[in-house]
Amino acid sequence: MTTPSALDRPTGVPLARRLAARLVLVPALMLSFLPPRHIRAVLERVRRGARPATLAQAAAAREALCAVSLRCAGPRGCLPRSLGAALLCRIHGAWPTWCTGVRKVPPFSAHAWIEADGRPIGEGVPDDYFARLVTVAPVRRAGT
Amino acid sequence: MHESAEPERGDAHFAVFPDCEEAAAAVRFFRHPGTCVLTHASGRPWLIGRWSGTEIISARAGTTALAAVGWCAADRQQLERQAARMRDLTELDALARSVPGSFHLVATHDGQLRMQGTASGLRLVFHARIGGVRVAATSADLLAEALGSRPDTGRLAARLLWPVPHPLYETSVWQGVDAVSPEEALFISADGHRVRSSRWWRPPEPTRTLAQGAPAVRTALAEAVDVRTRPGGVVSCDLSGGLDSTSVCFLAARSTASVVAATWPGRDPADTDLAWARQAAQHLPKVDHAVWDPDASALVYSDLLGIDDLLDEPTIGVMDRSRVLQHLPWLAARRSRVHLTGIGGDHVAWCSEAYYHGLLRTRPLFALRQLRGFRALWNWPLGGTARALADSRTYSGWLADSVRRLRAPMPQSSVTASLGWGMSPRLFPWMTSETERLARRALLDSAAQAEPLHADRGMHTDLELIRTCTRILRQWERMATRAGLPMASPYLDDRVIEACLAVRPDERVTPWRYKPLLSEAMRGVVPEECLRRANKAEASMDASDGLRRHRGDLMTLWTDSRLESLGLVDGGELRRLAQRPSAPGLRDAILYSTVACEVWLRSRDRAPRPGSAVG
Repeated sequence: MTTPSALDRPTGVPLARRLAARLVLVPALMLSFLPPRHIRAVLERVRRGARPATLAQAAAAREALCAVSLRCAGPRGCLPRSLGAALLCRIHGAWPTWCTGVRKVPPFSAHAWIEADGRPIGEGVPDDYFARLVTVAPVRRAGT
Repeated sequence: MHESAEPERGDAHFAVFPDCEEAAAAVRFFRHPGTCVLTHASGRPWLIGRWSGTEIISARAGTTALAAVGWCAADRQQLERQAARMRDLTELDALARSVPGSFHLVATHDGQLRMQGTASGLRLVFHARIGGVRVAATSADLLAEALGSRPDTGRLAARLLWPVPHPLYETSVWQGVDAVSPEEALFISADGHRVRSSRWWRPPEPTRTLAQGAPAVRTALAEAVDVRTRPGGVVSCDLSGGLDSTSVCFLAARSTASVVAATWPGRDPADTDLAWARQAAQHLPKVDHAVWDPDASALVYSDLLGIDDLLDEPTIGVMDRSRVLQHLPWLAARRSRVHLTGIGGDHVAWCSEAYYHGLLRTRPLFALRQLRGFRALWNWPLGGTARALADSRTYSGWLADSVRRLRAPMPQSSVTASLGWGMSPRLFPWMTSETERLARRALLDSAAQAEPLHADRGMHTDLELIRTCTRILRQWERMATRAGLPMASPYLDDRVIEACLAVRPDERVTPWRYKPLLSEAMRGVVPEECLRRANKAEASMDASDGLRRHRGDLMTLWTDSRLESLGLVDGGELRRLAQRPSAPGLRDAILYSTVACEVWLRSRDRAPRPGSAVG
């Protein structure tokens, strides 16, 4: 695993997106204190009606969260960061796959992240690096 | 000592004798077949030990003689000029503070002796009274063997602390053998009866801006690499993909020597080291890049039972010994003369957040902004951060207070250690009440007169981390030479340390950039795209695999334990622990000091004992 040794604050995120990111930050932080099954229940409700997020949408959402919140930018901010990024996608009518799980190689370590097209976003790890324990994927509508 | 081996560069060790009749009694303990001797003007032995011709420079003028042993940028003419004009041994302070490299400096003038190591602590000086006179040496066990002395149980108990705080690690663990602090030079009177020490080194005032300081760092680091590459031939370098070793590689590639760069990729699939190393190698067409098979890499805790090359004190370096040495024979077969590592880059270029304890008082707004970043980066809790910042105990007060928390659980957050004087020492459950009593006494004795290494806790922590690192490194260097290839770490040369620590901490230590000083210094030497990395590989997977794979060895280690027979640990408790290698606490380094002491005691059993003691 690679550990960040400096905070990476994305620059050049448009103002509108930054404002939207601030908007979802508080609900994301509140959600992050709930037990996993409650988080799951809330997210399953929120995702309804959204299209699957593209790689670019998911990456932009994650970046916006890191730009507005130090906590999300920090290496231990994975839970509010992933929740915020998912909510930000939802504002734009899309939904990434929100995941929590553990890394497959020892030692045990838990993580939360978002995926699009089956690929973890912004994690810098191979696609199958984490074992998914809880996922809230976009709902596939009939015909799509 | 391993008398049969031909000495190679990198494993010089010697003892120094005063120029008097009485010294003859001491000399006979050090003179063996194959040892080299330098003499005083009188013809009596001055230095006796083992070194290769390429690692010693000596000069003489009348009754003055000088010797530099190790990697030294000065040449014989320079030392001859110094010897010819020397009126007093203290004049050597200036020489010691200016010459690049890493070496022991020994001088004799009008019968008086002077000896010093490096401010980094990589080369140390010890002394003992043998046969009526004071004898100095580069390692404590040389003197201990001549004395026939044994390790002191109380000092061993102090080494079981985790971590061992300053200045407890600066004593020798042997009865009758005294240690000299790295910043001091040892003086022995002409009759060999009196010793004193005098301070030759002080840390720099951190007043340069990043822009002013970076060129000085570049020059110092380039010189440190040049000292090792100047003789030409083949040199090898680590190329881990990290900024530290990459910089050394690019500097070495500018020399006349041909360079072999070696990468051990991590076994963790998310480890990006190899990609970064390959990218660097693309910019170094003349460098031969060797990539090892990650699965063949030794794990932490490998081969603990076979170690027989330990120096004069326990070291946690035994944990990584196999990993450090594994590729050296292969590189030696490729005719590499010396292996350059990136070790020490973290210590001189990353540095301690504890500077912000002081900066909060001098530049509160700036400090708060930075501290906010550090909190996010290291996950410091708000309350703990505030408490650590408010704590204004003196160093000796902090050290004295630490005895009350020896058995407390390890702190949940790193913030107290990061913003304070250091990590508060702990004793783990398997350590006996006798260990606790001895360690407590050692701590309180030290605390009574302990001075920090610098009044600023940031500078203190930086210096302490450097010294803790060099104490491991001096042992690895000797092991590496025995494994067939001397090793050198340019970042830990005194000149490099001085150049780095002279830069203002507010620009050197920041949560927003990774090693800003080193990337600034290497601009123009290392390509821009290789300087961009802001993360580093974490070997947690290797560590946890190692613990599981080698639990059998650990079990053997705690069966018939030397520490247990000294009454310092509860062997049963350790054997139970070895059966549960996945116990959550073991992810931290809590076993390290115990393993280090046990392995060291065992290796002493294995080393040849001297035939006679002092009569």
